[in-house]
Amino acid sequence: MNSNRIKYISSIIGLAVIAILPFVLPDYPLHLCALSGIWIILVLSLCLLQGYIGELSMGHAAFFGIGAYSSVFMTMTGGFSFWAALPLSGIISMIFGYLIGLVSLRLRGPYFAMCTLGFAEVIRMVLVNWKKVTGGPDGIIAIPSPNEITLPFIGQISFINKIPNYFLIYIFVFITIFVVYRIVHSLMGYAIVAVREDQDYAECVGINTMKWKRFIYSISAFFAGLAGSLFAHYLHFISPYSFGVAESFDLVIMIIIGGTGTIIGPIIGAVLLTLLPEFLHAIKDYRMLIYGAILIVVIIYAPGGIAGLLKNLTDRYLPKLTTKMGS
Amino acid sequence: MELLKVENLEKHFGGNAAVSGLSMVLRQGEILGLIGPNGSGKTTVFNLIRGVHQPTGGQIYLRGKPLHGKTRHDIVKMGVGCTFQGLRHFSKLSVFDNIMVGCHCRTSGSLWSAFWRSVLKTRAARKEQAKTREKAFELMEFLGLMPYVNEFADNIPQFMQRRLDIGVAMATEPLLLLLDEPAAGLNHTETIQLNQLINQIRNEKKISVFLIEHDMNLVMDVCERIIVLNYGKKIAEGLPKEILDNEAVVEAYLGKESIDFVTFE
Repeated sequence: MNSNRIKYISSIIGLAVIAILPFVLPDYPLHLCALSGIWIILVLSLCLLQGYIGELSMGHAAFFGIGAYSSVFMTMTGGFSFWAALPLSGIISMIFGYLIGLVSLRLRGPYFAMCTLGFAEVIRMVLVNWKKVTGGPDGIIAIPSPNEITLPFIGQISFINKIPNYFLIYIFVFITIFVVYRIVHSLMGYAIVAVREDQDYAECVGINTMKWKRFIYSISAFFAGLAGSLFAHYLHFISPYSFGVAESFDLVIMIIIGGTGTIIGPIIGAVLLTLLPEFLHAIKDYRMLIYGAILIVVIIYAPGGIAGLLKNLTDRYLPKLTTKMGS
Repeated sequence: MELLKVENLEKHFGGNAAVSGLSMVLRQGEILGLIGPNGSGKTTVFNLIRGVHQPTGGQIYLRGKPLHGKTRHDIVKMGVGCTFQGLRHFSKLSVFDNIMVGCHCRTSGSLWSAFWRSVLKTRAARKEQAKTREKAFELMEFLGLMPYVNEFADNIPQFMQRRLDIGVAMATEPLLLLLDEPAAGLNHTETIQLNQLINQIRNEKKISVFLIEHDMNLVMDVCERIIVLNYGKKIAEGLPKEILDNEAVVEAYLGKESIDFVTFE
């Protein structure tokens, strides 16, 4: 039993759980699961940036917002079908990412983080004040569900109910996981991790660090835009308050608690922090206080996050397991 | 055949001329030494060649193509690999990963084509990955790094870390390898092994070597020609024997007594 086998088995179990959940869960918990899915896409897109190429964006919710608003604009004003607006909103977000990256990625570390924070604030102000297009602080209501489609073998699917929406979101969760996994486990992954470890040295072994950073920032913005589009058409309502600084910080907290530089870590973080507030309803106003406490504990006792703890556990007990299995 | 040609190279930091009027040639397949007292501008010359600094004046050519004005990663792609003073590698990555990062610069295609190939994991991508791995293992075998493949770069002996630095530079498939004080901190036996390694790099891998070193035994033994710098100016150039006999060099750098310690093996 090696770690590959464990990965394989656990992903099959994960798939099965995701497939069964909508048929056993009541309405509201299912809604939470769908929301977790959207957060997983978001957090993985940020993880590609923060965990692998090593630049922390503190304004990632801005791309989420750009995706959501452009998708809504295209379907409600432009008359596009949702299925065209979904990829297009990702691409629009990606273009924004590229342009912002062109300027801000010249900065490094905390300076870059501050710059993205500023950018996110600009986007939020535009969303609040450009009333003609964005509806201002009131947001946009009555966003249509994804259009009906007819698939071979399955037949017609309408997205009025929660269950098809749930599956739609999780299909995109899998696409995101798949793409991120393939990027970091291919030859590209070496160049990306090299940039994270030491940018100056990476230049000196022939890696065009600026190009790579811009590229990853664009890809990251693309997935955040996709998540935005899914979010808008799932909730039927968006307002600038869903894409503020607090959401950007939530994403960063999810990554840190889950464990940076891994794929499973941010997923755990996203699910945990989407479900946790539901258990903390009684003290909702003090939510951030609890997050802060958790964050401090995690940073001190488990710098690798939950994923790091899990890895330590498997590293410690796996050799014994192997000998037992082997004998 | 000339591999590297430097003409009237100038570098000024404010009013301080770190390198002034340096002209030199490195021939294909040569091991060339660069020596001089501390602060004489040796590392600045290296930094100008590898693009860390841009020259104030003068030109640098590699096989007739200009290196001045190019970015660092372009210069590496044109065929200049380098190591740095002190140890410099990706310390939190494994030895194998370090070498693979070096190999990455010779992978084919633009960013987007690489992206689609990786995501779809096409046959070309799998083939390229296998080929690159093979190349990395071959290089680690050559450098004697095989026992440390999966160790973190920081956890292996210092001597091996030095070899790893050279390995990462070699993985970029250079025509010219710049070694900046490779023997610093090594003991006598290790220095002799390094000497053999540098000869092997030139003879087996056909890579020309340009070397900065303070260990005179190593320099005199391994280099075929030596250039001596003092205050940014070239004060001597020639065979090791000629350098040892050169009055100006002895005066500026070697010192009268030290000559007795240099032995030819």
